[in-house]
Amino acid sequence: MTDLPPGGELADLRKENSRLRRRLAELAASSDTFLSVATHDLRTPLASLRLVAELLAQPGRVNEDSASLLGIMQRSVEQMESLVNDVLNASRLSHPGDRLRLTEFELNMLVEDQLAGLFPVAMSKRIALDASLSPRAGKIRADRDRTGQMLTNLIGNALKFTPTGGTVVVATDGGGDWVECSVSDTGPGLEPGDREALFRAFSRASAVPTGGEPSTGLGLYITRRIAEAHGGTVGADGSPGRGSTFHFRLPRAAMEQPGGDADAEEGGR
Amino acid sequence: MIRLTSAARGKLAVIRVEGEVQSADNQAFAEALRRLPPPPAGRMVLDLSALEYLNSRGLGDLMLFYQDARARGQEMAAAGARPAVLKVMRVVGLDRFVPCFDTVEAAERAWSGR
Repeated sequence: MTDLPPGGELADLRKENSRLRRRLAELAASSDTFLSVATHDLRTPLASLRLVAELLAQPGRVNEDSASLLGIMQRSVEQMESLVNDVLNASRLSHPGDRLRLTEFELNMLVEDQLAGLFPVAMSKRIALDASLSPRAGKIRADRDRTGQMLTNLIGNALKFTPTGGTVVVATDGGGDWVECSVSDTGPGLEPGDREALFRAFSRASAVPTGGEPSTGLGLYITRRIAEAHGGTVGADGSPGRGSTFHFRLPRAAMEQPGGDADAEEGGR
Repeated sequence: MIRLTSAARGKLAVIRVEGEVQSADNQAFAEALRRLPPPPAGRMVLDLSALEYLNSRGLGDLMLFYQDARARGQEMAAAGARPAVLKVMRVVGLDRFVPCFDTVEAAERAWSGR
């Protein structure tokens, strides 16, 4: 048995605890505001830079050497935009006031949309992008944009790490009160230590993107946060040299969030 | 599993594509496209109404098939593509070169008016 502190001391401890919690909340809010403002202010000049680079890259405007340099510039802008967007998304998911926007939609139709958007990437790497969409997935009630973001992250990742000529398979399934989606690839697979670490912020797998694509280490973390905000889970399977499968499972109908708190525990700040 | 059949419809060759094109079907699809007889009047319609899925490699094969047909002076249209197939054709801009119609009859009408 532990002796409780005397009444006066307990009241002081409660007061101090309450003060610390308030201070922590203030710091978190301040950090989120800073990230939102900083990322927004970074996106504007990046968008201008991208536009100028695109205009200059039009045929006949610059010679071959300059076109090659412009290509490097465009890829760097793309990489920076990807990083800024990931940081912004991670920050939004940590914001207590940012609620899920729940609507009802067909999961397979969303998967088809996201798949189509990634066809040019798959074709440029001569990767077969297959789909095995079960009618059992049916309709779900979730945040459509964020579910789409999870799909783009998982399929995009698979395309990044799968070598030319490989295969990526996107599959859906569902039961009474749940749905799931998996993305399997013929990439390098997962090292034993990768599985858990991959879903943490800024973590990276042992493997490297096969086409030199940028990777911020936030995509899987964001995916995990979105799934958890819906009351769902994420996971990964695979072993070295045998490809990998990343999946998420969501309740068929996500619960409304009374406090809109998508934040759960560590990381992301 | 993928199946291609070709039939004459007036001056048009109608190529019906049935099934789905996943990685296991890519080779068969590419070979079936190569084996198609040339359209007698130089015009063909791909009837895609029974095509359930076309993967990225299959779409690449379809683009090559179109390029070869165009190089031979042939014209090509698509008809009845399901939303999932139409989406991927639009994403890569194939629909700008291969006009997409709701039905084979609509493609036939469009061509007969020219």
